Amino acid sequence: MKKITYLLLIFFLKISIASAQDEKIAQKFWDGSQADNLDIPDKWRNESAVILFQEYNYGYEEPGKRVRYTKSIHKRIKLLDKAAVEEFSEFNFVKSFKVSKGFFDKGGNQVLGIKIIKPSKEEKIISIEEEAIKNDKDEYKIAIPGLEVGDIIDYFAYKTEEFKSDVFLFDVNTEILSDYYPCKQYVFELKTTKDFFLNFGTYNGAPEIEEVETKKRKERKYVFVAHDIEKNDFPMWFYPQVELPFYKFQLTYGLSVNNADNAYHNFLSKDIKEVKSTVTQEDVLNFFSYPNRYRKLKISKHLKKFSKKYLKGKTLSKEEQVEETYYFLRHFVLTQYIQPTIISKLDVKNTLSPFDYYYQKVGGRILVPSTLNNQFKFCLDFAGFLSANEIPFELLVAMPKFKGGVEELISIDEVELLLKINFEKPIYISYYDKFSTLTANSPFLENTEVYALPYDNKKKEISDIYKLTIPESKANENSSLESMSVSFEDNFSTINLDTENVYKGHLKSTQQENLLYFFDYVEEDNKRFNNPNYFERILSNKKRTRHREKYDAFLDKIKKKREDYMLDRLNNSYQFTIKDQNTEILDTGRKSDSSFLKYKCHFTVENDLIKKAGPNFIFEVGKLNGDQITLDKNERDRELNVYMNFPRSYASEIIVEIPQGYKVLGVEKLAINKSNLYAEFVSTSKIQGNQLIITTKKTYKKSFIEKENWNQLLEVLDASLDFNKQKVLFEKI
Amino acid sequence: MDLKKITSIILLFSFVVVHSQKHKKPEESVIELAKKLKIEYPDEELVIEKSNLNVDFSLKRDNVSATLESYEKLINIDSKTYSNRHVFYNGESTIKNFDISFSNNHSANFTINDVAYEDNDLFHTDTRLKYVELDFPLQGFEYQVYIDKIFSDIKYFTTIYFNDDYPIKEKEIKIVVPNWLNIKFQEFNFEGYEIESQVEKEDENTIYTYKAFNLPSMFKEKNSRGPSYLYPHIMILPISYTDKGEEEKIFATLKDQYQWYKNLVDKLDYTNKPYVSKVEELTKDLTSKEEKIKKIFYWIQDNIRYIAFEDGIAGFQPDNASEVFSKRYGDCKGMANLAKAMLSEIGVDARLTWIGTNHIAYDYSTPNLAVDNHMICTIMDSDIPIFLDPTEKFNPYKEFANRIQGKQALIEDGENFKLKTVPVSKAEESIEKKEYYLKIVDDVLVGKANNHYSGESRKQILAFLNSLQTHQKEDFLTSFLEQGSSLMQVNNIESSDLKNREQDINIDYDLLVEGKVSSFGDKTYIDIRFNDNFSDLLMEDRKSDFVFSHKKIIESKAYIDISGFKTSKIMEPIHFETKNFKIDISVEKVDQSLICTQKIQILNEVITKEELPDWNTKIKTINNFLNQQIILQKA
Repeated sequence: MKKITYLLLIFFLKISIASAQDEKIAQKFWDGSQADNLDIPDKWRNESAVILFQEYNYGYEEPGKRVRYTKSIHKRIKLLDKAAVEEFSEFNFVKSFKVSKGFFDKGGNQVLGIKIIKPSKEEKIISIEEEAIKNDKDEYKIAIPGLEVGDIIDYFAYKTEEFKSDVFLFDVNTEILSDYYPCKQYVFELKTTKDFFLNFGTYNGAPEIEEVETKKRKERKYVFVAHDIEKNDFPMWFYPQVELPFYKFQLTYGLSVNNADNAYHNFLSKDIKEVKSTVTQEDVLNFFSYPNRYRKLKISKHLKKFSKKYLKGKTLSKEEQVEETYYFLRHFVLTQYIQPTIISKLDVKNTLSPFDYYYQKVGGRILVPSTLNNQFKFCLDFAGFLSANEIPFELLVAMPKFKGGVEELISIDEVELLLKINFEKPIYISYYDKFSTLTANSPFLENTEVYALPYDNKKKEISDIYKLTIPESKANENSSLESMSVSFEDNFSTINLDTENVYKGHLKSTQQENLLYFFDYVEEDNKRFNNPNYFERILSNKKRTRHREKYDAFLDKIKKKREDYMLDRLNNSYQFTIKDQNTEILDTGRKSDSSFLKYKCHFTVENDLIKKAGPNFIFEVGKLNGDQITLDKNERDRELNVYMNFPRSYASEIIVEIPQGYKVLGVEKLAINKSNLYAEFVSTSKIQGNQLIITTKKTYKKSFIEKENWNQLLEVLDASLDFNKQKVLFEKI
Repeated sequence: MDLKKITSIILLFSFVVVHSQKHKKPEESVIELAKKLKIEYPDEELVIEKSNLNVDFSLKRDNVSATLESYEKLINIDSKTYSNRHVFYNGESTIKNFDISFSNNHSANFTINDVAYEDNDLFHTDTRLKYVELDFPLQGFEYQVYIDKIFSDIKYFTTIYFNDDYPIKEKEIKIVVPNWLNIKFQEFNFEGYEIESQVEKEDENTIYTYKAFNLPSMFKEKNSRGPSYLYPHIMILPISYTDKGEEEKIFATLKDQYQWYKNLVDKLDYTNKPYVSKVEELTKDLTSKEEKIKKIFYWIQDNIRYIAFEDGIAGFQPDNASEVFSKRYGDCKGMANLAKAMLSEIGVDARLTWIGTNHIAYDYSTPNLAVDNHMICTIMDSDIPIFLDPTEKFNPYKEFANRIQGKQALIEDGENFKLKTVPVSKAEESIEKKEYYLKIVDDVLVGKANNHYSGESRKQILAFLNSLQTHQKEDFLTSFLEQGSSLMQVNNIESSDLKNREQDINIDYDLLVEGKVSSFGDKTYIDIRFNDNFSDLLMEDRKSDFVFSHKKIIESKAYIDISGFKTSKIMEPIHFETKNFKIDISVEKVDQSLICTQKIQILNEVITKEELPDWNTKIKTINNFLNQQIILQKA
């Protein structure tokens, strides 16, 4: 009994302490400073809601060899319509959570406070304890009581995390000032003790941070305040970080002050008290030329083994050696393990142990390929190979274009690495995925300025840095071509369609991800490197049969799923209903840069696209060009520059068999030509024998279009829609 | 399992070898059976070969509980298959046992998960589910599933359904009724199914046995009726039990069920009245009672958010009106109770009312907790009850939502109750009418148009429109009038007050339609399919009744000026009429105009599955009609 009383006491004590703390936290946010902030400017009266005030507050401390990280968001929002009331009528939150940073974490806590301010200025604080409902996963849900149009909702969420760590880089935190609602006042505040390096940058007109004095000697505090921020709808084809005011920052912990070795971990200021707002060319050079990083590179053991096994005895040019090595790594590190990964998932109880057949001992230890699974390790590994073969190369440090330029770099975590291999015609290579080919790099790095760090093969080090621009691919390099043949049956009630589709460049990779399943390419790689597949590795007949039949049953299942997916995909591509389809992959497009994704498809359309007109038939041939992009009024009235990922083109060749006894009228209307500097839609049509032959090509020539020229893109989009509307008449002869 | 995900899983190495029961390959004879079943059920992955449910009752401390022991044997008839077998429970029920075994009766040792049930329509529910993810690696693989569930109070054990997610070859339901229990079983939807039943009398018990064969799997179809209309099931009607010679009633009559409900609502507190000042504020300048009722009813619709809670007895117990008023949210019971409380303040005789929406097939002739699922408020100031459903948005006073029309309403009346039926409205009370006045200019139709909406159609549009952000409303209206088609352009919209729920919606606008006129040689062709009312209504693969949102008349009329043209022969009009619908399609030439009319009258919102073949034939005829072009030639 005594024990129970004791336990209860502890329990109550804990609750009351928590509540008192919560109250203290609430007082900090609701200190009365916003009490008079009740009104909105006239210009925002028709908005759904207006943010009167929002504050983002970050804290970094080191109490007793632990790291304490706090983050709070405080928002005060005037709700002007029912949609806004609905939006803010329910909150989901957690009170405690597992900290995913560092180690020896204490578990994180979060405190939520919500109050409502009525138009009469009456304030109602919502009791979270009473109102919130807890679910299984320790998540809470609260329906905000008493919330009405015209109210102000004022809420804060305060999060604390504690953990231990050696050197620790917090995630780069990026915030755009604009929101879907306009905002009167935006406040940023960051406090840190002396143990943290701060990298912080503001861009596109966001206010600079200022250091303000605090009472604590060991504390530094930084603030900025922004006013009158218009909302943004964040439309399609828009890179907010290129145009809108934003800030980003990162803190680095665990490094002693003024240690030259700090450069090993991140781009940091020399003096921990100083904010690092830009990363210079010199910083980048220092980071990558750091002793032992890109110095005296050696070929790795597995690549040495590869060279011995696969490259020796073959007369390959340097270019071919590079290519073979890239594809070997893609297979060695990635695709050879797909089959056992699948098999390991086939049995809920994991009794198959498929990886037992894959452990490869290199140099006396089990090689775990996942150590190569990041871009830094890939580049280092590949650089070792290049150095050993005396192939000149440069390391490229890049930033994806949607994040702004390389000038806006503040952290090593933002860096994208490439290797520029200086053959007669230089090539750029980067970390692979299961589909990528040698020079298939991210489209987001094209046409961006990057830092280039040449590796001096004589001195075996990086000692220089300069800037270069990665070339942009052309529209015809990122292209698709659909060749379609069309014939009619049963007096036009059934239309048979056969297509062959080819995808190149950046359009290829998206389609590979959508279309290809592991069984399309795993065996292709095994054969290429003469590597036994999973079943060839199992020596026991009995086991092989047991695993094989489960694998085959699974394959059978997913092949059926792909059939369903393909039918959905076709139905989403056209404005008519497709009944049956049959698809065959002709080329996975993975072999080399010059191989394309290719597949063919047969499908039928019934009682659609054809209208009866007396003895004649009208055929909605324009719809065969597929669904084209349509924009609503709001999207057409664009006032923002246009950012696309890459230039591209979509072409089709449609061959329609003219049924016997009919002639075609209206062919001339199918020829459309709308071309300008930014885009183009061109279609042609002709009759050749008993065939109507139509070609179309829609090209997005530029990846960037100024808002003043948006209409020129619209013209072309409209032209492609015009083609969709075109019809021909099959007139009875 | 997401197949794409599997391939992208970063290569993990598993060094742990689990020694446990290995999957055994099924016997040849079982594989043969699986193959045969696959021929019988080509679209299915699993079949329940055998399913048994044994139901027992026990009496303890004036309470009758029910124990349900279920057994099923599942066979994989496809290639690799996964299946989630689950059972729900809540505060009134518990799961005593959940076991899985292989076909050789060895335990399969699967983890039984226990999670809270989550539903987007429910803010909170105490319903939980236990489930297991079964993995059938090969065709012919079998599992046996044993689940025991106990209802602590027989009142909450309402129905037994025969069908499952998978087809069942053979199902036996055995209910052992002890002599001390007076209970009835009502059969629903047995027709058309192979179900046999028998009753055996023993000394202490009566045994009811139902045997069903070849039950198809349950299915999901859009615009479908609720499961109580679709599948065979037994409703449990516990009348009374006898304990120590005394007979105690459970739900012998509807009065007993009402009494149980009444006990719950008797606990409501109407002494705390924070809503009084709001009632005064709303009604102070109004003189007529009807105006006052409307003002209060509309205020609740507009200002109380509907949030559904289902938690134990709270699933039946309304919240206090003071709570709902202060919180500005509530479920249907809370909102009905607030309506009652606020209306009582102005002297209106408003009463709580239980009702089953048209989602459920029952009426109050079978006293059972499954027969209702909703609460409204009824005004009983005169002989004609006026039903108020405050959960409906933009619902005018004296118009009753389609979902409660024709349903019995159980209205509180002190110790007794009143049972009234909600009147059924006619199709002509809900009209969606479009009129186009167009002329041909360079193969484009241009002119003016008008849309008109009344009744339930009007309510649905207003409710949706007013849920949007202020700046989105105009864009939505334009896109709504353009029917989401890039071929239509709408401009200069002038509409009636789109916040007034009592006034029909009337919208005038300028319209431009592309793609409907084509000229080839010396002829011009007009496509008369202005509104695609019919292409989605061809339902050749449908298994169950099709339910329209409500009874209505959908009409469109296009007047096309064809001055200067002569027309070829025009198609004969189409007229179809059944007890459920009327359809008229025509093209007429009147003076210099072509008048294209499409009129569908949904007289009864259900097209039964028996009517579907005939319906589909008619829709095909209509589509053929609409596929024909009107040919014009310069005069």
